[in-house]
Amino acid sequence: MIENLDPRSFLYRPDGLDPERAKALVASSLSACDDGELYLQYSAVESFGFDDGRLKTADYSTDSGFGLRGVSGEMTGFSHSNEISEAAIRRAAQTLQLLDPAKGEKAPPPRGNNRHLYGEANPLEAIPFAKKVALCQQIDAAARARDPRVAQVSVGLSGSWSVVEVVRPDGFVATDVRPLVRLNVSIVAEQNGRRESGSFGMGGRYLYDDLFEEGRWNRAVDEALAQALVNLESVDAPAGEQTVLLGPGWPGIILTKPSATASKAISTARAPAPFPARSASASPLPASPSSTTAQSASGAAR
Amino acid sequence: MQDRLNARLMGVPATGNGRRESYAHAPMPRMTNTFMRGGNDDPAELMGRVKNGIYAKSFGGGQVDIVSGKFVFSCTEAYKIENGKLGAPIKGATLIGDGPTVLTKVAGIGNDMALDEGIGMCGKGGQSVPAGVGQPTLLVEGLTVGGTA
Repeated sequence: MIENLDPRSFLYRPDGLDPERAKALVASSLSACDDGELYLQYSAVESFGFDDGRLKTADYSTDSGFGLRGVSGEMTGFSHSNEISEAAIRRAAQTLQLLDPAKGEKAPPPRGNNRHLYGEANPLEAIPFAKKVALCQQIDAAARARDPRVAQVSVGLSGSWSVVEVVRPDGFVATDVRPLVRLNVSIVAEQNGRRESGSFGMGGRYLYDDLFEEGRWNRAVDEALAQALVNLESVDAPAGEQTVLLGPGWPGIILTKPSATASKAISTARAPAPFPARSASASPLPASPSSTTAQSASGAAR
Repeated sequence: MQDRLNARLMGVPATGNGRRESYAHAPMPRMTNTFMRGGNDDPAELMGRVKNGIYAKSFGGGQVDIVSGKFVFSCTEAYKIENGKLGAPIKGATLIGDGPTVLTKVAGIGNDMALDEGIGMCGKGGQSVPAGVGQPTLLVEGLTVGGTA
């Protein structure tokens, strides 16, 4: 059913907005700007938290809305709403009238050199709820069966699917449909009263299928367990200046980060909601009365 | 690394680095998947060069102040290296330094470049987006280790 629907139908609805009206609205709203775009988005997010041998949390939510950005010189006007309609976009456009009219040349559209690196299928729909819970149970049981020292197992499984369309005032339109899934396994091992932990995570823009493959999730269990057991034997770290051999892969985080422009925090926090709660303060300009703060349509667990 | 706005203001080409968390967030220049290419050194041979040091296999969270490049990362799995051989696992090691300086202290680059397995989230200005990183085994001479002994 759902998988046969055009993903764009989550953005454009007969009672909301149609693609041609969107182009015309953006062209008129941003006519006095150097650059800018209308960004339309629909997203569905779910996450499962399995702890102490049972399902502790299961969340599902959907959200949709638009952000209208106008850039004039050094100024940016931004207004967003969780209602995709012609009226809401018009109200958002009023906010952008605070910008001084642009004097420069209009920015050209992007190069259009993107490649498809993932499919359009929705990971959330492809596997039923019960199977996701069953995977968490399987992982929990497998980890506990591996070693009697396993004292605690936490499994985080999450996924999202997002449909995005960018509409520029020059008529340029780009659409992207993004799956994202993630599996995290954390294990606490106990030996002679000492407790240590290990964890392993993996994910990416693909479907759940990969994570459900026995070899893949078993590897996550093995890696998390091995790390916990290694840490049970650990001694105090030496302090001071040392020669350090950094392992391949994730340790690259310490060198790749310092090339950008502000203070950041990096985390591997499990089950990251790809679209956490939002606040209106993200917009550089005060939101117009019409552009409501986006709220996740709250999710009844299915 | 430029988004469209900053590229135009600075008179340089945009590099496609404008990213946003969602429709409710304005785009800003952000890292995308970022990695260091592999070199020619055998990772085991790199370890063999270390008389006394540590092997940092995995990290948990950390922070970077990118104005200065200073970082702090805590190891979730690390070992001593003694006379070129992997020694006892160590607990509670943190690596402290700054990126540009570390890059001047790289003494060896492994031939085993790998990407992380899809676990990174990068936060900046209140927005969180997924980001991948990667590097080969890297020998760094002289990094401050915050330990307990």
